[in-house]
Amino acid sequence: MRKFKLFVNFKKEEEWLNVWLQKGYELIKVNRMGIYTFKTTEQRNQVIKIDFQVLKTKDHLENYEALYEEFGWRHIAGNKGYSHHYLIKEKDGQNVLFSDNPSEAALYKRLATYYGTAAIIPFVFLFNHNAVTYYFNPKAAYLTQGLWQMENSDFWSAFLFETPFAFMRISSVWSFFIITLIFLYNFFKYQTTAKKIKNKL
Amino acid sequence: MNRNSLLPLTETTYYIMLVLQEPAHGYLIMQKVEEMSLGDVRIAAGTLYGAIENLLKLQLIERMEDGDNRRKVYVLTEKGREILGQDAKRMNHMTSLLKGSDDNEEI
Repeated sequence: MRKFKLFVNFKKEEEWLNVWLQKGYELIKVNRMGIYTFKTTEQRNQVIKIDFQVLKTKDHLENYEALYEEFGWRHIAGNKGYSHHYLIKEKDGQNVLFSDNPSEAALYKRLATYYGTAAIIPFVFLFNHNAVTYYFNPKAAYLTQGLWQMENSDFWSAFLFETPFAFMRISSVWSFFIITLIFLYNFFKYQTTAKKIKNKL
Repeated sequence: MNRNSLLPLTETTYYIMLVLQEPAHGYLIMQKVEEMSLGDVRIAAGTLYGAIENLLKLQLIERMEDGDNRRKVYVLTEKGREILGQDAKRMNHMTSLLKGSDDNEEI
């Protein structure tokens, strides 16, 4: 079974995956475009957790998997370079990945750093020439020569013909804006969560 | 005297280092810590992974070559022993100040 879904918050993603797991659908693959692939399973006593860790080399990945395996966690999705890791195990007394506040705070700190850095990329695109033009003057997204001087039916047919293309141009530049906002939102949210956990006595 | 910036250790880190006075692999570390802490500290996998990576980076522990085994074995370095000793001394001092504790009961 395949499902398409986009998540901003990894805790919500985790919950969603666990709901499917309880229904007998076990995650086997995730790709960056938000496509989740599941297989059916008879096991109802499993739990899935998401960890966030940038594993730079194959050696790091092997080490990471080996240690989690010792604790019964299978690394089902997420690879070298991809920093979200999906881990699954049969429930026992210990069904969490982090057992103390400093290590949980460190997780949120890693997430904050990741989104803070990632926000730079769409932010740069926000200010390229086309983008700035389209924000303030959506008419510029219509490239037909002399379109705005045409009259009546000429105008409407040319206008309607080009609207889907103009819409694509405009929405692509606005999408950079939205992505930047989402990344910054995540950055601040995870930063705050990390601080909150750290300040617990 | 300026104390080492690595101090104080967290409870989890202290126990991990305590165990690693002798070589041990991941799951064994968790079991021994649970035993030593009388069941109070049960380290989860992610916490242990982070602690090991951190201690390796700070060169307080090192990985031991252990043939082809996938399980990695770790042990305290000289520097690690020193830091562990300093933190134990710190806590000893603090507990000795507590009124009504065993150390203070002699009159």
